[in-house]
Amino acid sequence: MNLKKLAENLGIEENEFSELMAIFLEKSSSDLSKMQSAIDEGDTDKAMTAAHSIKGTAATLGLKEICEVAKRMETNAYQNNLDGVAEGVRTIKEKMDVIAQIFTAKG
Amino acid sequence: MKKKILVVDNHPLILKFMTQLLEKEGHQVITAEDGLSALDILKTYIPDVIFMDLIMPNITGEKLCQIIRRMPNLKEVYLIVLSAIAAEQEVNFAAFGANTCIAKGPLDKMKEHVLAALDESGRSHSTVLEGRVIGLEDIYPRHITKELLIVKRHFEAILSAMSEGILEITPGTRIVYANPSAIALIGIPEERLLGSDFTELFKKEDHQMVKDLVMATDDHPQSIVGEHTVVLNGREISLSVLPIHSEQHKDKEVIVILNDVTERKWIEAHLLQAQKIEAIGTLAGGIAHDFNNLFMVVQGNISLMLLDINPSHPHYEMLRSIESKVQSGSKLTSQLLGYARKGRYEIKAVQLNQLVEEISNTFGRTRKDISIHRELAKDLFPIEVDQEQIEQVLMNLFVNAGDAMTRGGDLFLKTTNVRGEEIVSKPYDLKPGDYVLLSITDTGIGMDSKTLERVFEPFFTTKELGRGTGLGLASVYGIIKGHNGHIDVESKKGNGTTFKIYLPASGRKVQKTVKTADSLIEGTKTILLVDDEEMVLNVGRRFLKVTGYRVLTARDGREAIEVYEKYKDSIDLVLLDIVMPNMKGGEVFDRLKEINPEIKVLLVSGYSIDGEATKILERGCNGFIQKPFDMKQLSEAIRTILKNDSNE
Repeated sequence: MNLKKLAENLGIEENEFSELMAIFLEKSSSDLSKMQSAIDEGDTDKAMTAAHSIKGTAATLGLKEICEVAKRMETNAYQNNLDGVAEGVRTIKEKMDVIAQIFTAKG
Repeated sequence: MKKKILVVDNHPLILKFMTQLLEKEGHQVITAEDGLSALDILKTYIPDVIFMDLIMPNITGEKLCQIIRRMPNLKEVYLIVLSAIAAEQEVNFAAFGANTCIAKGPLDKMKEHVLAALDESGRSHSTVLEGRVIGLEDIYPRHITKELLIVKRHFEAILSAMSEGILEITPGTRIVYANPSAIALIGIPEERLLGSDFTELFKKEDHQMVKDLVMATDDHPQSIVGEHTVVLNGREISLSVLPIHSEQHKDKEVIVILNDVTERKWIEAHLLQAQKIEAIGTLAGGIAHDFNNLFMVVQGNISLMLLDINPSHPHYEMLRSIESKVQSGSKLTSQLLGYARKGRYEIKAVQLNQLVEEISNTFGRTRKDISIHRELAKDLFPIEVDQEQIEQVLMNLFVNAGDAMTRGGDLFLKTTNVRGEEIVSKPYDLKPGDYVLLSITDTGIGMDSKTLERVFEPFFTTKELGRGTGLGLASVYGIIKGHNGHIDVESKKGNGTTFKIYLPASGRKVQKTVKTADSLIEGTKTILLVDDEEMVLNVGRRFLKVTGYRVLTARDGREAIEVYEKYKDSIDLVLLDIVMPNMKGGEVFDRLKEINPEIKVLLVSGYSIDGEATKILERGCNGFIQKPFDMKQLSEAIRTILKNDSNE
C-alpha cells in the first residue's frame, strides 16, 4: 500500500491525505469493534450496518481492497453468515494494521 | 471569488475532505454534523453555498433543504445536495428545493464535481435547477442499500399513516421529527416546527410539566410515561413519552405520542353526567315508591274517618286539610317519578285545549291577581299523552309563572298547530311530522341568561330554602321529553318569560274524559286483597267493606293461592300487589290463572306502570292502578272490571 500513490490518485496532497487517513482509521476501528460485538451477540443487522459504514468510507478514500472485503462482509451478514463476517473482520484488521504502520513509520 | 460555505454531513471524513478542498480554493468553510447544528449556525451565518448530506441523523437533508428554502433570508443560497444513495434511489432534489445534487463516490471524482458545482453557483444565481445528478456515472447501485431504502420508506409510510401524532425530541427538547398527524395537531408547518423547542408549543404553565415528562423517561426505560393532557389549538391532547434506545444516539432521544382526546373526554363527561342523572332517577323512584305506600295508608285512614263524620264536626276541616297535604305529597312523588321518566301510565288521545282550560281555571282560582288570556286554536290536533302528567306539566308552569308575578300580572296561553314543514326549519331534534305548540307567557320578573341555562336542571331553584324544590321544571322537562316533544324557554330579566312546548300530534280520536259523580259506587261482590303490607291490608279491607264488598286478604303469594283455591267460586276479583317478597306478583298471577282462566285481576303497585306490569297485563290482567289511590279511584276501577263481568 503506497500512501503517496493513493494520494496522487485522488489528486490530494499527501499531508491532507494523511489527515483523512487518520479519520478513516479512527472511524473504521470503531466500526470494527461494533462488528465484533455484533458477531458476539449474533446481531446480523448491527453487523450489516457496520460493514456498510466501513465500505462507504473505504470507497471514498479509494481503498479498493478494504472496500471489497467490507462488501463481502455486508453480504454475509445479510445472509446470516456470521462466520464469513468474522473472517472479514480479521482481514480488514490486518490491512488497517499495515496502514497504521506506514503512518508511524512516517513519524 | 471567495465564498462563504457551510458543509453539513455526519461523516467526519467528508467534512475533513471538503474543508481541505474548499479552504485550499480560498473559501471560508464552516461545518455542521447534523441538521440541528446547521439550523443553529444558520441563525447568524448566511452562507453563499451549502453542501448538504441527504442521510443524516435527526433532521434529514431533505427536510433541512425544505426548511432552508422557506427561510426568507436564505433565499439566495445555492444548495448542493450530496447523496450517498443516488444510484439506488432517485433523488428528486428539485422537489425539495436544492439546486443540484452530487453523488458521493470516490474522492477524486467528487473533487471534480464539487469544484464544478461551485463554479456553476457563481454563474447562475436563480433557482434554476439542473435535472440530473452529477457523478452518477462514477458509481453503481448497491443491492443492499436498495433494500435498506425500501425498508426505510416502509416505516415512513407507517408513521405517516398513524392517526396519533409522533414526534422525536432530542434531550434538549428540540423537535427533529414530526409525522403528518403531529403536524396537523400542532398546527405549525413542518419547516418551522423542526428544530424548534417542543416545550414552547404549550402554555407557560405547562412548560415545567412537559420538561418533567421528558426527563422522566430516564427512570422508565422502555415504557410509556404518563398520559397527561394539555390543551393545544383548542383541542385536548394527551401526551405520552417513550425513550428511544439506539446506538446511534448516545444521548437518549425521546418519542412523544400525541392523541386528540377531546371527543373522548366530552363523552366521558357526559356519560358521567348521564350516570349521575340515572342514579338520581333510581333513587327518586325508590323513595317515591316507599312514600306512595305511606300515603296510601294515610289517605285511606283519612277517607275512612271522613266517612264517619259530617262537615259540621270540629275535626272535619282538619281532616280535609291533612287530605289535601297528602295529595300534595303524592304529587311531589309523582314529580320525582316523572323526572325519573318512569312515569308513563295511561296514554290516550286528548284535546290539549281542554286540559289547558281546566288546569288554568283551577290555577286562576288560587291567584285572582293574575289575568289569564287564552287563545286556543279551534281545530287543534289531538295529542297522545298521559293526561295526568300533562296536567302536572301545566300546573308546574302556571305556578312558576305565578311565582314570577308576585304582585299579579298577565298570563297568556296560546295553542296552535305546527305542520311538518314548519318543524324542519327549527333547530330542535324533533322527528318530522305535525306538532301541537303550547306557549305560556308571563309578565313576571324574567330570568337572566345564567339562570336560563340551568332552568331545567334538577334541584336548581332560585327560590329560597324551603320554598322551591328545584324539581318542578326538571320533571316538566322529563315528561315532555318522554312524550317525544320539545320544550323551549325565552326570557329577559324584567321582561317576562315564555315557555314553548311542542308535542307530537296524534291521528287518533279524542276520548272525552267522563266526569263521574262524587258518590262512591257500591257492589256486592267478593274481593281478594293481596298485599304484603299490614297497614295496606287493614285500610283496604275496611274501605272495601264500607263500600259493600266482602273482603278476603292474603299477605303473600303463597297465601293468596291457598285462599283462592279454597274460595275460588265466590271470589269475583283479586287485587294483586305486584311488588312482594318471596313470590313475585307476576308468578302469583300465573298460578291463579291456572286455577281459574277466567279470573279477574286488578294489579296494584306503588310504582308507575313499567315493563313488568305491562307484561302481566298482557297475560290477561284486567287493569292497573297506582298507589296512592283514593277510594273513588279504586271503587271506579273495581266497578269497571266487575261491570264487564256482569255483562257476559
